[in-house]
Amino acid sequence: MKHTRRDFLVGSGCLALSGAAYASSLDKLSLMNLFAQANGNGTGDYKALVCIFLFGGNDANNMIIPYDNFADYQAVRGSAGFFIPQSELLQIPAPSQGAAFGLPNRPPYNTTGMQTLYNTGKLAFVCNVGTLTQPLDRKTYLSRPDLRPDQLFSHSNQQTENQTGSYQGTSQTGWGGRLADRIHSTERFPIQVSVAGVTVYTSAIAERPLVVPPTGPLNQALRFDPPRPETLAAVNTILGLGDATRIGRASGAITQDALNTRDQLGTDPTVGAFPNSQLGNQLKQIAKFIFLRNDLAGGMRRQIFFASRGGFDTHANQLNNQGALLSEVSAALEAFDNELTRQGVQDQVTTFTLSDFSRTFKIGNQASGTDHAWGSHAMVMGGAVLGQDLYGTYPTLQPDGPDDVDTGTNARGRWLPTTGLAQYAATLARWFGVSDSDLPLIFPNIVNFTPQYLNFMSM
Amino acid sequence: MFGIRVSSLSVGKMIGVVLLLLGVGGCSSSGKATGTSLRATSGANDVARFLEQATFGPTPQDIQHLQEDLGGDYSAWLDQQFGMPVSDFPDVCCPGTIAGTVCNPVSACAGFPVDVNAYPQTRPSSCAGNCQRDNYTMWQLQQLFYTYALTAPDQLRQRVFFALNQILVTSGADDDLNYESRMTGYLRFLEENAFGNFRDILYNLSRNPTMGRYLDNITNTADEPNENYAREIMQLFSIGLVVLNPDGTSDGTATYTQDTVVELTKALSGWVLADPLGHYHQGTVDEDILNFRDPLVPDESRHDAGRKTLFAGTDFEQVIPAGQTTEEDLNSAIDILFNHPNTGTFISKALIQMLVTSNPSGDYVTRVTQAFNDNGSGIRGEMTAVIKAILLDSEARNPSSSDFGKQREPVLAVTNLLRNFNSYTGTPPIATTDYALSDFALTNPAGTPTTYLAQSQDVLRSPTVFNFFPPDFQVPGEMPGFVGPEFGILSTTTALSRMNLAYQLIFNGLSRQATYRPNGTMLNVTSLLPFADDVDALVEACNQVLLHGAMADDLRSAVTDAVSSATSADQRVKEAVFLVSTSPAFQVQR
Repeated sequence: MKHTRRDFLVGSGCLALSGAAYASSLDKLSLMNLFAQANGNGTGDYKALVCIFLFGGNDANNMIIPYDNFADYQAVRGSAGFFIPQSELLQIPAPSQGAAFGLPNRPPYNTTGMQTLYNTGKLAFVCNVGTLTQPLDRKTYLSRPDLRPDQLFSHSNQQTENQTGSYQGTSQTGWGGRLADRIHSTERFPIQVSVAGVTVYTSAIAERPLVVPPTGPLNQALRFDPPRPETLAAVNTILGLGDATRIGRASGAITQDALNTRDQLGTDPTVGAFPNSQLGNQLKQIAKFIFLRNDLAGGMRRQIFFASRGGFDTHANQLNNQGALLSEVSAALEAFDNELTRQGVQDQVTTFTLSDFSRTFKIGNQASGTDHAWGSHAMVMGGAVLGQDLYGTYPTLQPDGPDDVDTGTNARGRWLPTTGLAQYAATLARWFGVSDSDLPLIFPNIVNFTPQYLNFMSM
Repeated sequence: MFGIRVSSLSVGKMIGVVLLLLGVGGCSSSGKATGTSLRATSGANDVARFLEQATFGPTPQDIQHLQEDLGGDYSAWLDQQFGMPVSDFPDVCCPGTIAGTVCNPVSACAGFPVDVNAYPQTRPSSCAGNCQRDNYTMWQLQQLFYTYALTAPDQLRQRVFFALNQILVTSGADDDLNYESRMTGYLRFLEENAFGNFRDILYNLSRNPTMGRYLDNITNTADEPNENYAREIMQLFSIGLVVLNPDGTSDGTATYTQDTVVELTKALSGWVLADPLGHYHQGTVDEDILNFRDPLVPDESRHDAGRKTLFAGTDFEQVIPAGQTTEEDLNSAIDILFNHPNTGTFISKALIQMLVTSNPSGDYVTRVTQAFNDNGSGIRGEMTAVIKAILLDSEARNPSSSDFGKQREPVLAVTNLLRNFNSYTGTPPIATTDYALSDFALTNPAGTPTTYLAQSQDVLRSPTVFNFFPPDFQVPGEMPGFVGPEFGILSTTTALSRMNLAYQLIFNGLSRQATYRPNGTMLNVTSLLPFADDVDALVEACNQVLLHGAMADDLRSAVTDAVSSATSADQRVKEAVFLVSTSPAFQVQR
């Protein structure tokens, strides 16, 4: 069944994203069912997803560069300020692509951490992933603007679409939130934890996220000092009264969450060494929550985390900016993997990236940067990842070529995605425990794709 | 730097004011509001509630003025506010007195307590300490923001200014704009146009140098188009993303495609900063002082003068003919966007959300849209008509749905608390503040985490052009479609920060710090001390002052029980204020 724009509008009552249908669907998959389908590696029933959102649009063209076919890259980017010479690539084999590729290592790019993770089978890349309502070829894209996702090339819209998994109309919940709602239980510690503020990704109907500072002791994260113990008791009483307005009830509930959760964060666990960078600190904070998984609310079986790093909107000065950022990501991922291994949960935690979009392959008059594009390469890391490979289809690096949504002599190389965001995310959701038949409840667009998921996770 | 002491009524007179409030009693009004001349039907409580929507918080004096001097006539109050002089941000001047500066003929700083000097982008080593604070951060502008929010008589303009600041966003968080002299021009534009016509607002916004830098239109040329401003002026400042019915609903049809963005980009090309204000040469710093004071000027060599078609293939298709100048093209583009049928609804709904309620009914939106489309005299886009329609509407004056209300953003939560207890005449002063209330200025008590007080609303420094929070942010725990924009920054972390901030303000004061909080801020609740020994009267006084008399019985009981166990009068008063001001009843404007 083809889904039109109208099907995904909130309130139109058609599919899972509308209120009534969604609420009833929450009953369909109970806590026990999810756990019964958990396919961990026999090391227990715990799994965690860690989403790292790279805000601004990471130029994936400068992150996964052809090694064997380097000429394709050099022909177009040779004169760019951020050109990576072949001699400064860290080679990575890609059996599924039948060719070798490289990670940028021209200073300030330092991706040695990524290469190590990749070559030890813990890191994989998924090529040319992008927001799509259904598969599109170039001809269809050009002739059917109504089939394209809303507001391609707009930061806010693409950030939202990546986080909601919904590409036309509006969705008020994130796909992380929808995953959390499926395993919602009022007795547990919040399933979702964001160390990067309030996000659409964790927006849910039943399962409100816990937001903590990106750094600092966990037992200080929800610090509140009432005048007297009696005042704290009164605050709790007052919050328990509810409110005459829906807004008031929701507002009070968040404060209640904070006070209830605060009591459970009594320690600041010691974890391994992390680089003192923005992402390093965020992943360190997440590592603490993973460390506490057996102590929180009688033991967490599922956790969802959200971290982020900004600054990827490299319209200018890309060499220095993206170089520093990818180096930070590389080092932080390596430290995170080390810590997860130290904790013995490396097979049970899968970390993945999202970004607004990739960037134009062909430079414009501005030689030091790039503009907004589309299909991007994502990273997936973890013991359960079938690493050391590139999944999906690597685009043909040809402006005005078969994969470019631009046409003519001014074509900049904006790749039409060959893997839908829904397919990428569904693969992760399946590993997390969602059954195949329930995937459309999380990703309504998935019914348009074949296959509905990729094979980069061991199940 | 700021030692402003707010003078006050004598204590005796203050008691009188509070007793006046207490004496009225009752909270809900009778009768429905009709027409455009509304009288408060049950006195001070309704008046206070109106002022919560129209100001940064009702002071006892505000309530008395509207209630007694104007007989509770809201329309008359609005007219009075429309006619008041503007509490404006000071103009930028060229500091020829500063060594190394050569000024182009630009007026010198005159008559303001604050001089907004135009400094070079590279900070001279001689500008350190307070000079750096004042010119190379937003601190002084944030002080002025809070000064006006807390003390300016033209409260309605200030409140609308703040609403527009969160819709037509530029931000000092941008590295290129984190200078007092660079953000000032935009703030002046907003203050001066808040009660004007929206067409002028769109036009002047497009000529504003701060906005020209913020969304890159000054680098948008025929040869190297930059789509940033064209995209956002449609998405955020005029027509929005989807075609709207007058009631704000939509079937999801997009208003524009990428093609229109490309075409509009061409129409907006050709603008550059006006001539530099001066030149600075001292030591290693040798650069022009760029002009963020005067409107952008056209450079025809950078302008794409071809034919442009906007909204091609739709009912809204418009053509801008070839051969027009930069200015002519801008006027054509602004006319098209201003007259697009979406704009009235889009802007009206955004203002309703900022001033009154997050989820207005379709009928409410329609009525305000009608006022935008025609002010009653055939004029489209008159802000005064829109503001009146928003604040005098029966849904604002007499809501009956539990959908009503908005979560107070951090700025409004703080200003309401401070204004509820402030007063401005007489001695001794009741409250002191140096208005250093932005996140930037907050210093956490020793031993507390960095997020202890931070509210995620560093005023005038929103993280992106999408403001601190988007207009369609889902209220957590509610069915899809029920929005609460302010929930975009209300998390488990910031919810506790609000409580910590209230506690510090009420019990300890926000402490002094030499550079950024020379005087600190203290909420002075001594006006409630006379009630300290009668807990019922104390709680009722809080009800009148903070909740416009709308306290529910169960909240009253909870506060009374807690306060009764406090052993000192001072403790009782402060805890009462703390518990009421941190309750959802106060946190939500309703």
